[in-house]
Amino acid sequence: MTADVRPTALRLRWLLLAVTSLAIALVLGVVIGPVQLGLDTILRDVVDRLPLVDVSSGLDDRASAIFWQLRVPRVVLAGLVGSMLALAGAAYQGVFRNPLADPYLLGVAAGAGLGATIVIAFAPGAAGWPIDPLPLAAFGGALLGVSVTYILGRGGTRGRTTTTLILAGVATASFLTAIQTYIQQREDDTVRQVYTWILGQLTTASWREVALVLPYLLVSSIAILLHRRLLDILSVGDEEAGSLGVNTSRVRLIIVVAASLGTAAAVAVSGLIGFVGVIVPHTVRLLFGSSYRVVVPLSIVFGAAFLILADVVGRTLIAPAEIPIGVITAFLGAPFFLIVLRRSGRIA
Amino acid sequence: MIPISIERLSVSYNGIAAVQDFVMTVPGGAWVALIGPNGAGKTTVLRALAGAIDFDGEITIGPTPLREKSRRELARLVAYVPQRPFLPVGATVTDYVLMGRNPYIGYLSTESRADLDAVARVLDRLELSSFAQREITSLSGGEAQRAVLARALAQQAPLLLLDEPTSELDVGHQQQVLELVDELRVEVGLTVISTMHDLTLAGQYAESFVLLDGGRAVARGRAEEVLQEALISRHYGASVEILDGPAGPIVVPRRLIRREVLR
Repeated sequence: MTADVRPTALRLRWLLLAVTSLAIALVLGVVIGPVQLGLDTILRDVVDRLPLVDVSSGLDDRASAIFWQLRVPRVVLAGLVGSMLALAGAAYQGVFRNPLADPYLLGVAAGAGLGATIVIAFAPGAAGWPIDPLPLAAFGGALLGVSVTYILGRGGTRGRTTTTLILAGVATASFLTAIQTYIQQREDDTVRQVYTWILGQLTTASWREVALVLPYLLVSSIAILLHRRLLDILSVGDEEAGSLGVNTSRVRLIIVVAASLGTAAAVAVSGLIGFVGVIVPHTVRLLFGSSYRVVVPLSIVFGAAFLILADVVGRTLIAPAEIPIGVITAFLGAPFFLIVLRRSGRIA
Repeated sequence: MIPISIERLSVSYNGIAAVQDFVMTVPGGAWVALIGPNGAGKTTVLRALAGAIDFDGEITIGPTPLREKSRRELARLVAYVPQRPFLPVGATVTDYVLMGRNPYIGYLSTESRADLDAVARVLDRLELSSFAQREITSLSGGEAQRAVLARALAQQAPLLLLDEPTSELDVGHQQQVLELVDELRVEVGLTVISTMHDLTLAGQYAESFVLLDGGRAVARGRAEEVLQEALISRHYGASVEILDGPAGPIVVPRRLIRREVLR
């Protein structure tokens, strides 16, 4: 008998399902809002903007501005940030072999936050520089955060377990946040700006933020996607992966740098949003299997859909007021985190 | 067929010596068994050969020293079956065995038809074809052990390192797996280095023996030379009887008295 040796791979219908969910989320995201625009008028306006097509759009100038300058960039930005956080979560889970790894819980986001705060506090007006230093400073902080967490989580006498890494991450995040708060209080003329930023900047999203974050996300996603096969091999542990010809420290370094770069860019435009990296990859694993060949691409698509929907909930639940998006994700994510913790405890 | 030479190998973990001044040469196509009590350093020798740990001394596999080889080059030369392999949750047997093809797949590319064919042949050879799409964690101990061996064979490396390959298996599967390794050794000229606790099985398959104790080689030679009552009693602290078997000595544990309970 000849074996059926098809390796686990992304199936087309899974991808279609993911893309359909994203499309639904996009439509809900642009249609729902304080100003009722109506799906049909929006559709006509979109068609009108296609080259060589001319239909009368139902949107007047004011409505058109609301739609194209406020709502669409916000939805696009939520999608990009959601993709990135979900992807980074999946990548960290793979390289640290830890189901609870998440940019927020590893101190990556707190480090990025510290880096960004330093720029906001000490270099006001930096946004006008030829290269915006905000994402770069956030990237430096993100790498610092994840490195400290990894070193602390490794040094325990009982070896590195699922929980020691996360505890190290919590300690690192608290410490970095403490420094950040100190800087914020000292430089109190910028304190408001930093606060708004921490709570999540999706409220002030514009095409500028989209353009700022997009190149980082592309680089990060492509790098991680290309490593999906190696992420699967890392699952057998460093010693075995090494004996299979994988240079584990190099692969881990590349993936951590890529994931931290993307996370930093996401944090730089959206503030601190937690748990997306736990919720999305684990849901994908439960539904479609745990190979990174499946988890990485589907997390990118479902991550976008998830954060767009979370943002819709955040701005409609107590409208006209808004609930910060980080509150929504934490509200869903914390119970989810406990479920994953219990499950992983049973396996270990 | 690839010869191996180990010169003055020393390894220590956190300052505690695990192996000291270990010397061994293995001709290509031979099967050498490393035996010795728990903690003697057998696994450490295998891990050094697999390039998994830092060591002092010199290991040469074929013409070039191990240190000069990249991870990839080494994985094409040496396949390692650890004693307690980690079985990843959710991976199918195919996914798992395909990992053995990694040294032949470009860094960021994916497997080719040739790699999948190689996996199919190995699965077929180890009678795992019907398990190809099963999750590896759903297999029985014996089936999983065969899958781990399959991954190592998919590496097509001329040196096969086996750390207690039969520890999880019943007596029937023990014979099956060792018989298969021996067939491949003869067929494709594999060089095999294995650690084994079951001295009788070791005696029937391996050509030569190195007995380790406390990180040092204390005896070496053919089965009849090493599997001797005096050596085993001294280094294992065991009382055994050695019988003559058709394919090698048979080592039987022997209890000298029975404790009787007064009823």
